[in-house]
Amino acid sequence: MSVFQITLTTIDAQQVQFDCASDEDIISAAERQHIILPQQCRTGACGFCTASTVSGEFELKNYNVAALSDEQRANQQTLLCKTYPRSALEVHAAYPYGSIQFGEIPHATFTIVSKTMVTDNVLHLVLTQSDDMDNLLSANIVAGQYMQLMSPDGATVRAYSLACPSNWEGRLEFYIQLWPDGEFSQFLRQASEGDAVIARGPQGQFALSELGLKPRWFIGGGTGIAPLLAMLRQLAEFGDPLPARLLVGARHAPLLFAHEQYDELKQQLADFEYQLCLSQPPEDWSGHHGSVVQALNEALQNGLTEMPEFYLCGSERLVNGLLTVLDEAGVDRSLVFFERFAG
Amino acid sequence: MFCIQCEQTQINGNVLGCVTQQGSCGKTANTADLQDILVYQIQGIAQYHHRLGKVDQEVAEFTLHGLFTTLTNVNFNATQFVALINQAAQLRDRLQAQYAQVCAANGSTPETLSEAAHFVPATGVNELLTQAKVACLNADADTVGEDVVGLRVLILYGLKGVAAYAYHAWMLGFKTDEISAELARLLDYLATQPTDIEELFKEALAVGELNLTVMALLDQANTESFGGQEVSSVRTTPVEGKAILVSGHDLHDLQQLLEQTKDQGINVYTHGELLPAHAYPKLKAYPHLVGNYGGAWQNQQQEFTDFPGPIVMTSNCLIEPRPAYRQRLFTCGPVGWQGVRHIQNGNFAPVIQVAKATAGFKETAPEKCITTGFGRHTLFNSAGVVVDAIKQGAVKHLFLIGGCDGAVPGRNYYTELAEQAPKDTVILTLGCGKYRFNQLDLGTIGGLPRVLDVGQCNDAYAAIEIAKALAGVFECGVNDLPLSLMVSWFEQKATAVFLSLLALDVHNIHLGPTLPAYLTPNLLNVLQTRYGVKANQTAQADLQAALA
Repeated sequence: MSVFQITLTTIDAQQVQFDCASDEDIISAAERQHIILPQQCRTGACGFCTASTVSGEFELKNYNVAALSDEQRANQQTLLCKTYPRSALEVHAAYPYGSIQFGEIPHATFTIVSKTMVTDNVLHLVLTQSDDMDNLLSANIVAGQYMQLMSPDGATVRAYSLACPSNWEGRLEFYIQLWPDGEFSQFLRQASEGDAVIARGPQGQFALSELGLKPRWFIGGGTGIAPLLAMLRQLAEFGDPLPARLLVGARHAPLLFAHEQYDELKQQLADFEYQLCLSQPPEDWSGHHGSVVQALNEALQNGLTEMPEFYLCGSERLVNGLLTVLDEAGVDRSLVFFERFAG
Repeated sequence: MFCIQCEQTQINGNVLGCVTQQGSCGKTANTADLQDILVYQIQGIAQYHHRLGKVDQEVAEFTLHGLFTTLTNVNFNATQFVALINQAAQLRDRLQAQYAQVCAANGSTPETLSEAAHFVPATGVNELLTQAKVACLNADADTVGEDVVGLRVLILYGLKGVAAYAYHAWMLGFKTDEISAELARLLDYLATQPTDIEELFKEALAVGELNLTVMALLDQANTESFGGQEVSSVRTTPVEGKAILVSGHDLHDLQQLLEQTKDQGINVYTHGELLPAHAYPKLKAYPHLVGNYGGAWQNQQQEFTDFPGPIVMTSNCLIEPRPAYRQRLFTCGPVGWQGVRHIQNGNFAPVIQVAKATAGFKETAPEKCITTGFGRHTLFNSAGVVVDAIKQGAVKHLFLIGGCDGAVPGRNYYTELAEQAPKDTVILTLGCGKYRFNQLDLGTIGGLPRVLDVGQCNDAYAAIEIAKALAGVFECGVNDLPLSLMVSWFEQKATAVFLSLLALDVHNIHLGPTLPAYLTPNLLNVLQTRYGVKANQTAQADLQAALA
């Protein structure tokens, strides 16, 4: 294994330097040295950490071409979360120096308060912090962010979007897709209420646009609704008066969950409507017949009185489908915020 | 966006004012445009309110809140302005109908009012923002000229300051129809897009007179609610324990918080312009009001980051909250920032929850103190000492060095003034400008400290009353007293106080650190000719001139 120097220049011409081993990605290497670079999915799926390489050799592993096109790649662009150096590297990032944080990402021990299966494969997990109570991790959540969860021995780690906004109760809430062979899924299946979990974060850049003055549409599928719920709950807590719409997609009705939360939001928000969309609905289905992508397309075709901001979250396939519809409708990308995950 | 209301307004060559996508204060162009629309609507509302001949309490309160919320560093939340604009339209509709009824009842023909009185806000935000150009303060500058625009904004900004002070009094239950009616009259006047320079000057002085009435009412409100100020030593170092920091100006908010945190094991600290709260007997009686933390508003990003508990911002000056404390920052009343929690109906329970969940101060630091409380009552009680000292020659000169503080380096001028003022001079100070020198040891004269902290910026009223009393004792005019006024301004409350001083015919005021950008060379010339208003030179030169 070799170690190379990485020189990252920000858009305001400032530089940070750190070492990176040939078997680690640039985001992780920086983080190990307490330099937290702007990032979102860390799976090569979102494109948030796209940067231009100026000099040096590297290998780009396991990424989604939707996040980095072949043309971008030919122009020496890369995704830092999937970039493994093969020599010293100089990269130019598209963000200012001020958006880099320095220091360790905080972590603390949590206790499992409840774990409830809300579909055959989706777990609703609630945790409360049980140590370092002067530094509640939940207080720092920006709605839309994620946490890394670890088993107490640190052996298994996975990142999950938070379904709750910031709070001072030390409370974290997640909707987690359990996979038959997933390592952390196994850990969660076996864990009991009262057991310990380590959480690290919050992290990520998927968040509400602070200067928003437009209606907001939240569109998601599967556990992708978690960060959207966090955002909606924050808007409810802050008494936001702007219209909010939620489109939730699934194939079959039993795959839908969090109905109580949607109804609560309807009580709490001044102007909130939600629509459940099934691509394979039963005959008596009162919601939208068709996928959430089709529902969005129909809404755009019918014309909107005011173009909203769009917040999208779900699988790569879902989010890419939604982005295509938005692009075809000529929606300005500055109005679109998204997070997508593999699977 | 066109905003020229504060001292840090941008000046690029011939272009005066913040005109890009973001103002110096951090306000976005959208927020600035929406604020302009709201102020425009408030002028339209005043047209009906003034003509109804009877004060409508809901309209009067909305007017104060609406103007206050557009003051520099108060509310940055564009969403809230959209809601206020819709509320203003509803209020206007109600008054418009009432006015029509009154005219019908007495058989008169309704007057033709300005466009502001008929403004209908668009429902979509994009359309609403395109309407902002009618409300832009320099919309007709090409026609009426910069002098007229300058005087109109002088009046408007003065009225914003008046509204802020009146709002604080209102929150304590002190209000008069006289004030509400005069405010409506002046806003109605602005709605007519006046162009007569002499008339505009006259009405600017009327704003100053109104502000004197309002500052007197606020003085009464504070005194009757919390007792007359007493000379008080205020701790400036932390005490071990959970902690809440309260910034801004609103004593009513502070009192509510103190009441709700009683016996909860939480210490409350003041910040910035709330320092004088420690001088009011009914506030300092709360044992958990333990001290003052930090300095003036412009240092808040570092001070709030370092403070180990929640922070409550009760009025200006709020600047962009850093992520480090954004989740433990709360706004009250007219203050707002998108994504920051707002306290509703005086319920500070969320703040208390955060105080209990945060670390607080882990240890008590060695005690350090400053003195405050030379308000109207104290000064009147000490007037004999001051008069004797002046008569005996122990005090040669009085300086009033106060007003707003700010971030620009030129404000060191006020530190230098205080440091270089001769030992046989006394310095009265007020506002957050005091933080430039209130921790310096400048000695005493005849048992009185040389620096007398009169209070908040609205306590300029007390300083004015003292000056008038001294003039009475020495049988001269205020301008003949050995008194120099070195006023530092930043936002619109200082504009209101400045107009009050002019209304009292006070001459030779030093206004700085820079002069308002909206005062054109012609307007400055008039102010210099009529009132001897002076721009700052160096501290040394200005001291020499004052003492000559």
